[in-house]
Amino acid sequence: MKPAAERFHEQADRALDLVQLQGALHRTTSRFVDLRLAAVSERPDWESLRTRARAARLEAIAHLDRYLEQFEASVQANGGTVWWARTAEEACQHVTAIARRRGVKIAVKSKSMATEEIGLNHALEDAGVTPVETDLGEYIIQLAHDAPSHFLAPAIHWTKERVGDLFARTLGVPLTTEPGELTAIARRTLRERFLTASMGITGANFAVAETGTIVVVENEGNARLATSLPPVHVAVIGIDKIVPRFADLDPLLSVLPRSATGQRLSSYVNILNGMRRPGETDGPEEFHVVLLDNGRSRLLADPEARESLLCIRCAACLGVCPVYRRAGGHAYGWVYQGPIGAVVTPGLLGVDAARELPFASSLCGACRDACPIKIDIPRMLLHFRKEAAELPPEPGTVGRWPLRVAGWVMASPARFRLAGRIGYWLQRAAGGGQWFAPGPAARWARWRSVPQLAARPLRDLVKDR
Amino acid sequence: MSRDRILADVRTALRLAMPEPHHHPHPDWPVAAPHRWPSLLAQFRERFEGLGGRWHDAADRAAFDRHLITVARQHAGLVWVARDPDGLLDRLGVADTLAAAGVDVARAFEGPAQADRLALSITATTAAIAESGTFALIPGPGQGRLSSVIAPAHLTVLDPECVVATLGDFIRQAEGALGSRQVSAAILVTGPSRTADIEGQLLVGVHGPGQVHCLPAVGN
Repeated sequence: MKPAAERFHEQADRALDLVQLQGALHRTTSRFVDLRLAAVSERPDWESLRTRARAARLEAIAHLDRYLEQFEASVQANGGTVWWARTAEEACQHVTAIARRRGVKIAVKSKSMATEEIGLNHALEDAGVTPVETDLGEYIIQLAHDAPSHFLAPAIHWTKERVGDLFARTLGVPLTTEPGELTAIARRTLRERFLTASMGITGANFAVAETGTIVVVENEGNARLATSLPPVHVAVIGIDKIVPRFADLDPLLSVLPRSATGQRLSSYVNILNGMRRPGETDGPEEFHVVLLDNGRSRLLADPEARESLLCIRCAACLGVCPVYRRAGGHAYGWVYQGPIGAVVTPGLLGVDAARELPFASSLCGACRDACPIKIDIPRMLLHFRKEAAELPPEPGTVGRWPLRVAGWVMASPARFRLAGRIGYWLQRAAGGGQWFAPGPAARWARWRSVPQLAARPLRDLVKDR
Repeated sequence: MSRDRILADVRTALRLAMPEPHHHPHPDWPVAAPHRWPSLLAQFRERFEGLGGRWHDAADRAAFDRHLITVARQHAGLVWVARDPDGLLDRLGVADTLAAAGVDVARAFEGPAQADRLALSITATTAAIAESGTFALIPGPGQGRLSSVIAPAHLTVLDPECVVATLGDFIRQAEGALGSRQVSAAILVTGPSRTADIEGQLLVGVHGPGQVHCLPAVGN
């Protein structure tokens, strides 16, 4: 079987048949879009904020080597330790080694796409550490051994009935389908985990080179608990999360929550400078940062796709994308979903591992308009489409010969006229209607209708006038 | 060594110039009519209450103390009165007032055994951001990161002088404290702990407090 990121069409087909999922996608994405537009409308300087936020991200990426070194030095000056990881495996090794050294049995995690990307939970389990996801949506997903379907709302495809059943089955609590009670159950269960865990694991929305500060934005309070109670805090951060200056947090924190959930500011913004200082009563005794490459430097080396590294994972592009709104997150087959996922996934994994994703777009440009960093996602989708088209055809597909034939026919007016006449007579003989395409072309033909060819083409009608 | 390899890869990548970005300014962002508030405190209050925060107005010290006691009794249980870096809560005699009213008061978080008994935490705000109804705490001895999330309810005492207009104003203020490396964090709180992870239904109190109170300081 092909890896999940290579099976977009198959997975999207399945999603289209799920009535509950379609309702959840419509409800969630519409709500996020409405909230975002209302929040944006309050800022007459929104365009200027976008420009400033983009400039900060561009500056970071354009001098990434310098800012990474500065960030490392700043974290060390704050008393923290920086680990560098070229691959997912290396990042997992760093985290598990810290856990082993500290004798960690339970690690509480806040929502982090970087740790999902590297498969950290499996690595921790293999090392004898129990990882506990503490964001409510992620907790549901972890208990169910499922995968997140949205950056911000990972369990949008779960109904309250299914959550109630899941909690009753896995936690041994009485069955309830009332969301307030379900949330209270999660709070009680996870509070005990927070109080006994000896490691807290987070990602970061931003990492400030100038001060060694990391910023974790959240709404539930779980990231704050995970960075306050356990004696060890490990932050797994992609090298693309660097921002140069502390002052850059102003435009970036101004656009992120507004674009994500339509909030002026998220409920909890944790601006963290490492471990507790002398006299402070909580916060970790040890602070570690794992700087993760895992394909990012390769993406940086592609001038046409480098812009995707500016992304701040607000998910605004998901909400406005007509493809994501129907296909949902699982169709994208990996951690990163929606229009930005259709660029980042082939960028990080290679186009051959995700060749269908650049085509998972209507190229309408709504993602580019919604993006608070003004990332030109359609341009990069076209770039990856070109790269995908240059790959050898997949076994069992028709490859590029139909387009070559069509190009040859259309290159000559005589051939084009002749093809039109033949098409008309074939269509009459077949009775019109759906395409009939055998074998590998059947998938292409499934959703397409034949245009009715006229008995007399337009050019003949024009001649008669 | 991975560090050197990553930095070398990044440097090699950066030798290839990125094409000039295509500019696609959005011409039609809707803009609401600007609203004028009589003061930053009034704007902060409106935004704070809009998030579900509970505001308590006290005209004098006696009213301030009454509000304190009322809120503490609403949340029956142990009340953690933090020791804020500026000593505002001590100057206002918050712990003494509550203890005299028969409220069970703690002055520090003493670990897991205490967590279940905590009903309310009381902190002093370092800065407040009017545009978003946010208050900020800079942790220090006695008022840590946990004080904003560990109890089911949180009351912050706000010096009206500490309200700033925008997030940018706060960032400029916090830069000095964090840049000096003397404190480990600046933590912002904007309303109660919330989630919409189950069928999009907005619920409060998922991990942090479900109720957040604000009481402006009087006579400090």
